[in-house]
Amino acid sequence: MVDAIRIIYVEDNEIDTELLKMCVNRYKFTQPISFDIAETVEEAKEMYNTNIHSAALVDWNLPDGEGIEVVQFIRSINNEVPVFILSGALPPKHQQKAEQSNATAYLEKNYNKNFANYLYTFL
Amino acid sequence: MPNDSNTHLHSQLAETQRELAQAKADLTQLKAEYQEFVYIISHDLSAPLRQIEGFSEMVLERHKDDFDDKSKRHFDFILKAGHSIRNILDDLTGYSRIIKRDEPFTDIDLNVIISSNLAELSSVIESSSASISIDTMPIVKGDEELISQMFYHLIHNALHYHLPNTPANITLSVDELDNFWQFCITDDGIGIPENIHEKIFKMFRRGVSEKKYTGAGVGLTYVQKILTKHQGSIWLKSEKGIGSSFYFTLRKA
Repeated sequence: MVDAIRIIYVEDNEIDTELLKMCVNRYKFTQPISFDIAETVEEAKEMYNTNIHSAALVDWNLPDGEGIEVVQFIRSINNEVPVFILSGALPPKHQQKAEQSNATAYLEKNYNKNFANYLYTFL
Repeated sequence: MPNDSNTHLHSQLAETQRELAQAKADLTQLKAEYQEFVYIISHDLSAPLRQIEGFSEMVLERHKDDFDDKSKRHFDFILKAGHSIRNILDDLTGYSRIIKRDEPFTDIDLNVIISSNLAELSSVIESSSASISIDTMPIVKGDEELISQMFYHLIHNALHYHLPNTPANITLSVDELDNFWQFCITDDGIGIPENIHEKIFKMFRRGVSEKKYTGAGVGLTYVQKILTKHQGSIWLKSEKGIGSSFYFTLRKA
């Protein structure tokens, strides 16, 4: 049996979590994908494991800070792993901050086929 | 005969007056646009939302026995998301009401206001096994409804964000300064990390996840706006896991 690719998803909105999982399940990748869910910056820092997680998806707004803090934390450990910042809206100010944080990409939360296919190109 | 210096001053004054008139006109237009925007948010947006909610409930009611568990859960998500939008619209309307409100200030006995707040919060006080100590409060000048709302939110927050399985200890004190009353509400709750001390005053921004502590993230935004309308200010000292002290000022009557 093929091992699942593990992605850490940092998101405090359970409906968004469900939507993303459904999107990934619907538009299947060559390997199964499983998600570890963290709801806060603090939880993400505790949960992220550079030996386990093949990618990170991080919501911009988190209860105890900004997703950018998670990106910076992951980048301090691993400069190669794909890290995506997600948001419901993409104001230019946030885009600039996302670029400065060295995130792989800053994506709108449109959980559809294009989103899934784009994500898969990095896995 | 006017000298050059006077002529220059007259010309500068006329220019400043023109700029002031323009700024006033811009402000009036901005206020009108703001009112229109609030109306769109509170009225026009609520109509399609009501339709989504209404038809979703209808479909769920008629066909609930035909749905598998997954579809039922997804329908619940639709209804929950609709409910969230409704709350956001209500909160934005509430915020706009605070901004628009222009009632004359009256003398307010804070002891009466706070007693009434505590009565309203009695079930929260009971569930958090709270002990609350309150100084004798002064009489202040302000908009009674807004001042009451402000104390309600601050006391509610102190009660709500207490550590699990630990009774909440809350104190509300006041110091008399030259021109202001300085209040402090202290709790021994979950505390707030320093990096989000500014963020928690922003609309819909919270320091904790919804699952752990329910809430909309508007209380402190309302409080700050109410204080601004009363020429007051608010700041906090807090340590995670230890508790928080919110300091705020109101002008003396």
